[in-house]
Amino acid sequence: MRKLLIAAAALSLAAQNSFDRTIAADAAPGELFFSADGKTITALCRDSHVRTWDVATGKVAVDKAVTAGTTLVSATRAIERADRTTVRVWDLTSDTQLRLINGAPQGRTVISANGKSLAVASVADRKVRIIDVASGKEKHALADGIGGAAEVVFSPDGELLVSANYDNDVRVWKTGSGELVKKVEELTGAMFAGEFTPDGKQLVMAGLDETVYFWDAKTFQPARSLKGHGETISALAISPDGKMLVTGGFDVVTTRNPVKVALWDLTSGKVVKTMRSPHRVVSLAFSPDGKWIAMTSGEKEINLWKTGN
Amino acid sequence: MSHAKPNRRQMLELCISRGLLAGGAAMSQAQLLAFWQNAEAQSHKPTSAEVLGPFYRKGAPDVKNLRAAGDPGLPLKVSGHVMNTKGQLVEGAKVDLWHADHNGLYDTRGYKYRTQLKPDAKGVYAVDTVMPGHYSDRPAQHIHYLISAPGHKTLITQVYFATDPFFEGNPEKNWNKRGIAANKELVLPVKLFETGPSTEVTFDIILEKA
Repeated sequence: MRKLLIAAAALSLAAQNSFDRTIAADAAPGELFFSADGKTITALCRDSHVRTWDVATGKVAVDKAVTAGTTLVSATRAIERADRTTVRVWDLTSDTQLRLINGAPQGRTVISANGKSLAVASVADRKVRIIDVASGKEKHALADGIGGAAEVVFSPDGELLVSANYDNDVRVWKTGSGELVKKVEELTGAMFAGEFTPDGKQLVMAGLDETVYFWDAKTFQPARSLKGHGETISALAISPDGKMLVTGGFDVVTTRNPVKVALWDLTSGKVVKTMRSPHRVVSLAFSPDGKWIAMTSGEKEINLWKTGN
Repeated sequence: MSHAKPNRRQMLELCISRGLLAGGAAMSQAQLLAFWQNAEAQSHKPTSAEVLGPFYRKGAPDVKNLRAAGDPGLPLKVSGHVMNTKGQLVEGAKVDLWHADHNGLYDTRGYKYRTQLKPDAKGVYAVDTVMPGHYSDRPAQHIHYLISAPGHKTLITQVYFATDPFFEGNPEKNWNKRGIAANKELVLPVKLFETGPSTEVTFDIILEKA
């Protein structure tokens, strides 16, 4: 028994040692974002505080209490839930409320890269609403699948919106007209994470079936698929130069802890480095210079690895 | 002596004539009959909906025995009818059901403990499987359902087991503990058989018209 305990302790130590750096947090951080200059990381923590850490020192630079049900959508924008149908859009840099929006139901919320559009995937009526942030007006209420949205993504230019549904289908709409341009129906597992490549040419998604799928962002025909993570994938990120991908594993019902974090070279399509996460990976992000990967996994810390680039 | 079994209408008329059924004051026999027929038609409430959850996989094969020889886990038979709100058989229904194994793990690579059943001519579906295990995200044992049929609203729901330790021996009181079940009716009584041992539950599904 003692030997087992020592072995278990050694294993957990090895997993911890695999991080190149760790930033401590008062409460578990969720979705995380690097600032544009890479000097800070911002995350919404489980105690309903949005915190910004100085990456160099690991110290908290900004700490803002928000309501429960708030979503952090970028390094500078938080969508604070005011009530069941109302949200406040905050600029975190200046700590000012940009807009109060009525008609934003509860559900997964994302913002376009230019900050002009919000997409809210309602749990209640299974519609994805596109809302103009400047006017606070709803532009479209798009019919999503029966399962509800697992992931919602804007294209980098904000022209397309993607919703991956728990019913396994992926829908793509034009944000201007609200036209459904593609419904991917051949998947046999939900996509839990997705991003467009930084050049906007491909949509990359992964989830239940352990595979990373690439679609051409004009035709939405399959372009590539990568197997090799070997676990259900809960999070992914693409490096700013588009050359690297990182995928993080899902635990609890599909595998045992720890789970894998895999760094891929997208030119060769091969995993070049495998790290470990103590639990299901919540969020992954590359630093703007591509030198670091930051991760959250439900622990009271942010873990960082060097990419080696 | 044998005689034909009365149909439902004849039975209602018989009850009305003997004063066994009553409605509002001063209803004629015809009004009373219409009232009760209407009340019966409304009596099947649609089954409560629940969330799909992250682990649904499209394309499960139609397999009636999900339990392989030597599978660990308590054998479980699940069966029931697929009906409309009038209690009539629903034609062309497809019953997708899926659940975790005895350890609380889902098969994400294949279709173990996943099936899409077509009810028989009497509207009955049945499957042999094992009692699902517990896992930390959803602390009560459960089976997921997705039921579709032409002309009806697709229903997504889940069922739970009254024998689950999660309900602490009192599902009547604890059915919504930690917000687990949308409705008490989704916590099913479990028949336990000593031979085997094995278990059995019945879950009738009532679909709404589209």
